[in-house]
Amino acid sequence: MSQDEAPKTVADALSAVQRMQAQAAEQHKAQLAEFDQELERIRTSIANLQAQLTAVQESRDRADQAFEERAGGAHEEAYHLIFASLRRQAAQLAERNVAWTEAQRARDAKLARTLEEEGLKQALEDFQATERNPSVFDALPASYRDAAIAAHKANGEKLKSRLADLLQEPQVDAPAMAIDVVYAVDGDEEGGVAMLVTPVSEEVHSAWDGRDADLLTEVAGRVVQGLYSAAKGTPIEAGQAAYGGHQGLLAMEVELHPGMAATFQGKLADALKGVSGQATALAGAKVELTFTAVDVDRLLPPDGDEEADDA
Amino acid sequence: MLEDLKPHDLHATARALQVHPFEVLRLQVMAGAPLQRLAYNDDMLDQLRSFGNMETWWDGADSLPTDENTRRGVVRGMLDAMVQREYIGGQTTRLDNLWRGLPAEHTETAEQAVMVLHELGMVTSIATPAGMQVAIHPDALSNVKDVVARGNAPDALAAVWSE
Repeated sequence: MSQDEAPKTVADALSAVQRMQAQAAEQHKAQLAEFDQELERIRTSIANLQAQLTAVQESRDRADQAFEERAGGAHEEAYHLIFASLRRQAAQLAERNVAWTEAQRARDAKLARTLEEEGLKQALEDFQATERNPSVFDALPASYRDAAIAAHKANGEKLKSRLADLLQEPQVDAPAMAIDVVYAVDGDEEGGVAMLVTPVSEEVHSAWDGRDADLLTEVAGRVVQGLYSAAKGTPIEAGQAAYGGHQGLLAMEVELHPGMAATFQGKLADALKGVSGQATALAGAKVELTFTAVDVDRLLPPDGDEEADDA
Repeated sequence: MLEDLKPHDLHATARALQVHPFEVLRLQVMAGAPLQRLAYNDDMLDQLRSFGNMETWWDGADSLPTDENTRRGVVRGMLDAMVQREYIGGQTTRLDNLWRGLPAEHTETAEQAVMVLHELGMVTSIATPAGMQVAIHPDALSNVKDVVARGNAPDALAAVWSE
């Protein structure tokens, strides 16, 4: 600053300083106002985004709830459809049981006729009489006794062989039918369960003493044997299955040890198939068992459906 | 004659062995017997009977000890049979041997008594592939003998024949 530009008096100098300070304050105030406006815009944007976030989250929750409700309905529908199908097959199996029983009677009638026609009846009676009284050989000379006993035994084997032929399982004159058995294996590191439901009346178990062993017994029996075949050699081989009725159908259940569910499902599938595959009566009745694994929830009644379990 | 020659079906086999048919099926698997047919000849019956450790101790209700309380007589007879046969500690017997041969109404009493005896620790049990096995707990032998001789029993057991 030159001497010409310098304030003339100290008062002028102070006045100039005051003006500069007032000008700077005005500028600062304007700057802060701009910042405040920007902050307000951002806050408004955040509030809008938050509202959008809430709206989207609520839409998501509603979609999720709707899906769960549909899934629950699907589970209930699956449960009812599975058991409706099994009951239908139970009725079909009961019809086949009539044909099977008739085929067995026809076989036995033919057996009786064949015994007469082939002169086997008398031979059998003679054989059984000797079996009941083996002392008849004592009266024979020692030199002849061994040969007579050997002839008797050979005769017995021949008769048994012929009878075994005649007692083969009969064949029904009907088309082959597939019958479903459903099962579920569920568990974790704390334990588990295997459940099976068959398309036969639970009376096959609960009222067995009042009924004949029939085709329904055969079907149920093969499932029982399959279950125990799967259990054999595992930690649960000494365990006993629990049996009961579910919607009138025979159901069975066995508890699994911790950690064995993962491998037991495969064992069970193989055992059920293996046991039923060698059952000559099922082949004769032209009944093929098919085993279907389902989620355990699909074998359990939906909430509130307490009438289903009649075990 | 023909009926004598035919193999037994599952129900006839169950009646002969005095077990449920499903127990026959279980034993058939565990004993490694053939599974092709649910038909059983005498040899197979013997195989299942032997594998299952089945014994018949009773020949009807008349073979039970005389007791003015029939139900107590069942329990005393059952325990006495175990003592006489020395099914004590590690020497076990199949559970249903205790009542095999008794009429159904006595079977129920025997089953109830075994449950109570087990809860009281007087009888031990162990599950095996041959079936459930039981024995008298060695520490309870004198108590068991007291039940057999005098019918003196803990209240829970006496309740079985008092009901």
